[in-house]
Formats: sequence, structure tokens, C-alpha cells
Amino acid sequence: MAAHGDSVRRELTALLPRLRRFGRALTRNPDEADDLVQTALERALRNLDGWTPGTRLDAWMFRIMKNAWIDEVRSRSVRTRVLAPEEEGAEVGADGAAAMELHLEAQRVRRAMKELPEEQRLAVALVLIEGLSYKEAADMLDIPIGTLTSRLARGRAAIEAQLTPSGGAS
Amino acid sequence: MEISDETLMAYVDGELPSAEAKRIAEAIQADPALAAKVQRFRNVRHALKRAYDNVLSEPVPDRLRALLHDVEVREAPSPQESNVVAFDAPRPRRRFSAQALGALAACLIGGVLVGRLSAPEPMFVTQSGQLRAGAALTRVLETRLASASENANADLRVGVSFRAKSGEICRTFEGRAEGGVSGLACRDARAWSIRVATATPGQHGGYEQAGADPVVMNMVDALISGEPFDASQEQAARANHWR
Repeated sequence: MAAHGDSVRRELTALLPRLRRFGRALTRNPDEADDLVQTALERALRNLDGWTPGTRLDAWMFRIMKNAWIDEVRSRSVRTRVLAPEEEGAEVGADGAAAMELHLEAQRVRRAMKELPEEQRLAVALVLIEGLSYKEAADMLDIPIGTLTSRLARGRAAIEAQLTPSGGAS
Repeated sequence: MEISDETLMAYVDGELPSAEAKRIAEAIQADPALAAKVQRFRNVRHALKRAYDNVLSEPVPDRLRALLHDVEVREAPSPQESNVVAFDAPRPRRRFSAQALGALAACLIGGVLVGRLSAPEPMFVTQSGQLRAGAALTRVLETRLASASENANADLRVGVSFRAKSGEICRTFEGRAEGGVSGLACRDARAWSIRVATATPGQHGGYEQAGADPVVMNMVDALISGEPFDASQEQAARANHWR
């Protein structure tokens, strides 16, 4: 049992960068993202038997993060929607105009993600950022595939509208 | 024929069965408006990856690492752990070094040994002095998509696929056999020829999540023309028999 726990810990350590990426996609700022990862890891470690060896550990962790995040959002109740400012300018000016353009685009994308309804943001994060299949994502969210794809389509459209500042989606 | 936006998105996401993906690929070639739409959907995917992938190369805060380590086992972070990159993510360019060339030579020998050791179906075979994929590996390279769910935990699985500067399509693979083997194969007219293979110890019967052997990734960087295939490009390549 201890050996099993050790190897899972090692695999979880290797997963940390992706868990943090998923956290960034769901939450409003990097600190909140790492808090979410920490909460989810603590839950996972208390419940290692809940993971079936041979199944995807990343999907199991994403589910725990998703649940922890939904708890967090609910407990926040009707708190005002103030978007925490990004660390603007941190990477700006590294190598000129092209880098700046990419930086700004990334900021617009992250802002658009934050504005999405929770359910669309989850669909986009799981499929388009973390690379889960439609089926895997739908299973995780306990929704039919058709619901998933329509959330995905709406989320995509909202993000695309931010990519083209003129709003030029034909 | 009308093709819905949802179908086109599923195509971009690599979610269509191969026959349908092929049909869509043909429709796109014939219709610039359709092609533009597909490009728009791809742009959103890529922009999302760009907006979040930099997290992967940031150092992981100690408070998170500490949760996963027993007090006395405090391993030094391996470069791979702190820099795990998803299989479909574009990777930072690395230069192909003399060191990697040396490793390549060593690994080819290792590869031959592995081929000889793994009965009954060798992973690699030698044909007219060339190291090629054995039957099982050939089957996986020919048919398996990286996005397929059975790929995640199979004994043999594929990683990134891309077109090399030479024009061939190449794919990386990993196997659990013999304590772990990973490598890169390119499809020539007759078979998948092995360009590099290396033992990847320390897999503990599982795969490092989205990890990739540095020797193999150096080879990818040395050969690749453009970016690795995304899911739909991979699917289209399979439909076209990796030509």
C-alpha cells in the first residue's frame, strides 16, 4: 500500500505543471489557481483509494479540482464580480512588437475565459487546453456529449470575439 | 453539402471517425470558405494554448511539491518534472547537440538489444541493415491517434506526430516493454524506420505524464519542419496513410 502511495505521489508530482495550468484556466488569478491545486491535492491524498490504478490519473485529478472549484464558487455566493488584475507588464518588451502582440493576445484570451459562464469555461479548459476527448470531458462533467459540444461552441465563439478586437467573426 | 460548425469543430478537435475526417478534409480542400472557417477554429485552439502553456515551464511552488513528498524523501526536481509539456503542445526549440548525437549512437545499439530481447514479438527488426518497427509497433504507428483514449495507458503508445524537413511523416512512441523504451520512427515508402530509440528507466510500470525523453525530443527538434500535428492534422495524415 505504501509503495502504491509513493508511486502515485511521484506521478502527481509530474502532473503538477498541468494541474496548475488547469487551475489558471478555471480561476481568476495565479494565487487562486495554486490554492485550488493545493486543496485538490489534499483531498486526493486523503482519498488515494478513490483512484483506480490503470485509469487516467490526470482525469481523476481534474475531477477533484473541478469539484473543489465548484464548491469554492458556490461558497462565494453573490460576491461582486471583480476581476483580479493580472500582473500586467511582467513579460512585456522582452523582444519587441511581436512578443508584445502575443502577450496582449494571451491576456485577451485569459480575460475572455474569466468572463465565460462557469460551465463553458470548464468545457473549454478540459477539451481545448487539457486535451481531453469529448467523451472524457462529458463523463467528468456528468453531461451528455451534445451538451458538452454546445458549451464548447459557445465558449469558443466568445473567445474568438476577443481575438479579433473588431469583433469580426463572420 | 452543408457541413455544420459543430462538425467542423469536431474535425479540428480530432473527434471525427477517420472516414468522416477524410471526407471533411476533402471538402475543405475544395472550398476556401470552409477552409477559412476551420482556420478560425484552429486559431482559437492555438491562442488558448499560448495563453496558458507558459504555466508549464514555471517553477512549481514549494508548498505544492512539499505536499507530495514524505518528509525524508525530498528528491531534487528533475528537469522533466518541472517542465512537463502536454503531448500536443508546441515545444521550445532546442538545438541538436553533439551530445545528443553520441546518445543517439548509443541508443541505437540499445534499440537493437531491446529488439533481440523482447520475445515473442520484437519491437524492432533489422531489414537490409536498417532498423525498422516490428509488427506490433508498426500496427500502433499505422493506426493509433495520440488523442485516442486507449493511447493513454496502452503498453505501446504514440506521442507527437509531425512532418520532417525531408518530407516524411514521423511519430514518437513509448513502450513499457523491457523497463521502458521510447523512440522516433519515420514512415518511408515501405515501413517505419527507427531514427532513435532509447531506454527510459524509472517508469515504475506507468508513464511519466506527458513526459518525453530528451534524446527523442532533440531528434524531433532536429527533424521537424514547422509545428507538431494537432489532432485533426494527425487524423488527416492517418487517412492519407502517413504520406
